[in-house]
Amino acid sequence: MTGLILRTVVVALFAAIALLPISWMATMAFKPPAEWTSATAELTFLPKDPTWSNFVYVFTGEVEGQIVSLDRTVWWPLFASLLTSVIGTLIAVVAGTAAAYAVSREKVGGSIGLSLLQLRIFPPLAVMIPVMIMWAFLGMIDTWWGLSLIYGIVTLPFSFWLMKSYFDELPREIEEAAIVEGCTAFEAFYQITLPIVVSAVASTALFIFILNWSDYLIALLLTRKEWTTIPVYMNALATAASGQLYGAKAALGLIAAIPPIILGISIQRFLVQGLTFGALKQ
Amino acid sequence: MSYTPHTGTADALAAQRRTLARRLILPTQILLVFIVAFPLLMQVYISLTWWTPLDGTLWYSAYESWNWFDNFAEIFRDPGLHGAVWRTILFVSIAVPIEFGLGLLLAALFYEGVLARPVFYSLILMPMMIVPAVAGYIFFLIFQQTGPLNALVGIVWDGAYQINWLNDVNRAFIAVIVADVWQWTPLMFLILFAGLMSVPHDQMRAATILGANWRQRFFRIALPRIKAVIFIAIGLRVIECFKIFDMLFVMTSGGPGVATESLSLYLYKQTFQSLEWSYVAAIGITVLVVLSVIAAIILTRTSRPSNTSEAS
Amino acid sequence: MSSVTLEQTSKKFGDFTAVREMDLAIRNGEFVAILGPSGCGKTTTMNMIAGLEDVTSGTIRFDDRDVTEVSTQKRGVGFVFQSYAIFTHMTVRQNLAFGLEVQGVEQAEIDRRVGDMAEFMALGHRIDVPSAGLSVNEMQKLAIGRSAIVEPSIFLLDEPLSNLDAAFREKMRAELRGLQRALKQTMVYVTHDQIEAMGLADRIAVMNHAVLQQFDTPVNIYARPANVFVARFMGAPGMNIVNSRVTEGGVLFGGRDADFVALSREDMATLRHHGERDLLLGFRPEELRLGEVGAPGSIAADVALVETVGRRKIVHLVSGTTAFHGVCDRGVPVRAGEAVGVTISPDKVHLFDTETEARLQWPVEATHG
Repeated sequence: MTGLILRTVVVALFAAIALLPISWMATMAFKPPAEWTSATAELTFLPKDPTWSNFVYVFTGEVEGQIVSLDRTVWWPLFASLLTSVIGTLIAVVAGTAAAYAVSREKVGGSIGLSLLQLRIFPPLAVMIPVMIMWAFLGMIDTWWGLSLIYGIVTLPFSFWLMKSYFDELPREIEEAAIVEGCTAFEAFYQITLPIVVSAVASTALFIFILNWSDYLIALLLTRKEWTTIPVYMNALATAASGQLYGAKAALGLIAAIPPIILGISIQRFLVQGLTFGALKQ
Repeated sequence: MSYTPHTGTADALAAQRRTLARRLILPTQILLVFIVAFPLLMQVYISLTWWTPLDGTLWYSAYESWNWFDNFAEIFRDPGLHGAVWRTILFVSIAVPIEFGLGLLLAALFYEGVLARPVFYSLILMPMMIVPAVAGYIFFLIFQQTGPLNALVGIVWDGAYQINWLNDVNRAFIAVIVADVWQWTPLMFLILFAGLMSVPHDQMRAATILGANWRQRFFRIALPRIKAVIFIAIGLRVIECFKIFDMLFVMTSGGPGVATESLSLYLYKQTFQSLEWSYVAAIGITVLVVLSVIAAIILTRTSRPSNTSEAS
Repeated sequence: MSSVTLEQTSKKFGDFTAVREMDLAIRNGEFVAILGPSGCGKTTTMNMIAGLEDVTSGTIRFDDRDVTEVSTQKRGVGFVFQSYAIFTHMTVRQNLAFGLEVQGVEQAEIDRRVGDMAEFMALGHRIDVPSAGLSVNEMQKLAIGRSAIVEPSIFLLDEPLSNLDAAFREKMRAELRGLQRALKQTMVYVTHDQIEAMGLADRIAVMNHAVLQQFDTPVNIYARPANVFVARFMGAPGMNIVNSRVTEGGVLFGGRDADFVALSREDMATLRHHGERDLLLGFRPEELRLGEVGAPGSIAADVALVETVGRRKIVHLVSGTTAFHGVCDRGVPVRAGEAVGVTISPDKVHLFDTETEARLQWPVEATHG
């Protein structure tokens, strides 16, 4: 009993350390400029004078007290993040699920699984030069389709391996029975097998959406201004003429952080599987 | 007409399924060729030249500045690169063991049982769900000279407001490690805990009955049984940690000076500040070869002990 | 080795009572089977003896030592799990040595005892083999050897034979019995298989719905079941239980105005003394005789169905509305549709109370006037 309480206390301490930095940013987002640093006022955890002004500023570009108005509000980067993450997820899930089924059932494609895994291992910056040249050559720099396409490709290893681990568990007899009944091979896949793994596809899609949404580097390299995503937009805000916009950036950070946290907790049971490419199940 | 499929129709069916499989795999194959085959050739090509986007020559005319292996020779002479690689390795070899240790401790505590386990489980996983660039900004805020950490230290020590974290060579390095440990210890915990839960309950009880105390059970039964899981967890973290960019870029941009400049940050600076694209391409190929060898070793080792890597 | 005593031991999981006020005294060196259907509390009982489960109330003693509050590690019991719980990441040698190592026994001593035990368990030639590669038979031996090597005061076995196929189980049953004699251990053995319990145990503790029903030798459990549950549970098929009524003229079979059942003289005398009452009549299928209809003292019945099982026939009989079974040799010429006369030897008749289902003991407690 004392052991249980002692363990709980230690774990609670860890939980507090996990939460405090996030909450610091969260409360910062509601603080007026005077409370941002200890240079101007004594720091407090909760805002003494809570305000929406940081959010108003990033959403409208202007707020009382800020001399510099933003030439771009957060609306467009928010839309860019959402659009490219969703399309990238669709590409990865559709291509990955189809390929996973093909490899699981017919062992086609040679060592395609390993090739995909290697995509994940290399530091993107070591292989980005030709990709940037290619994207420029094809006119895909700073476009929504260019960013979506690369998102789809870099998350393809996850959808492939995750879905393969599910198809491997399903007996072939399910489809064979359907084919004996008169289905074509495609109908058996589309109407019989796919509905069985639909919840796995959904978890995989949410997991991949989180990955795409969390990207910073690729958007930094392949977008310029039009299609920058929220994290890139957030970090670029630092250079505004009025100096560090702590509160406004905290508000942006909060906006960027919330969707993955909500989705992540909703697929908590799936995370182990997702992160280990389906090698471990919980 | 017969309803029982004889050999002929069975063959036809097998062929039909094979055709379907070839079609289903096609999009992935095209994407792979698109992102691997062509860029790889281009990278090798450019790495053998002095080409840079600065001179206005188009990339396919790069052969005009053909230089054979000068770029690769430069790799051995470039102290900036060596420094970045060294710092990255140092970073990985400090951060990952700490993450592993803390993750294992947490996993063990959860395994033994804590109150309100589901609540704490969700809370502890939160850092890894934060967008890494945002995590970088969070710790940028925390380590400001006028930030909350110094305010906290200030409670016990008056001079705290003077501690400069991100502008001091050593403190900045510590700060980025703290940030990485904060964000990725949950991942270690998540995987190791799943591993521990897969250890057969009877074996732990059998060890107890034989007189083993908690420590002996944990180190002699549980840990050896999840060796493969530990290998996966550490392998994943080493790979990801080696690639680290987002958090560092937002938090310190590699500074002060080059104190927190990882390999990825070094490559970024070479790409966008020095515009040495052919040299970056050469480094990229070298990294590719080295990592492929390491990855091959990892994959052959993890695919072997399948009996211990399965969690249920 | 030591004796094990449970006194008024109970285990509750929330509102659910797994074991209710159990009294059980296992003697030194005895081989006891705890028998019952699944969910009856037998495994919980064993876990409480091992200390894997805390008791909710009551006392457990090994010899005179109260171990109720003693932790599992310090109780010194041996436990063979149904899964055997072999440490498959270790070799046979490492498995055997584990218990001695964690108890801090000297290395030379460990080597000697591990060697001896491996020889004793006929695992000597496999000692440095990874234990994951052992056969089920070898795993079981290793599991027993690993527990025996620390010289436990008592030995607990949880359905150790249930993983084996039928032919092999027979062989292992004999081996286990021999082993118990050789180790001179107090052994407690949990099973749901009555044949195993009958064949192995010195005494059997029959449990049902968290309650100990009877604790006695196999012979007594078979010959003098304490209640209807034990009577029905032991034997294949179990004892026939039919409703009966005591009248002036004798005991009516099936409770209708038909045939009387012959009872022993003391039974009759005592029953008469208590006047008319209902009771449950029990008799084993293998202890009735089939004969001509109308034979003296016989009960008229029709043969509904005959099953031939091995060298026996199971005869399904109906007398009026009462159905029961008989077992006879395969050579007995009995066919479905025949009318037969059934005789039951008076000393093979068991009487149970209709309400409590307990065996009626003489002198009977006057519950019905």
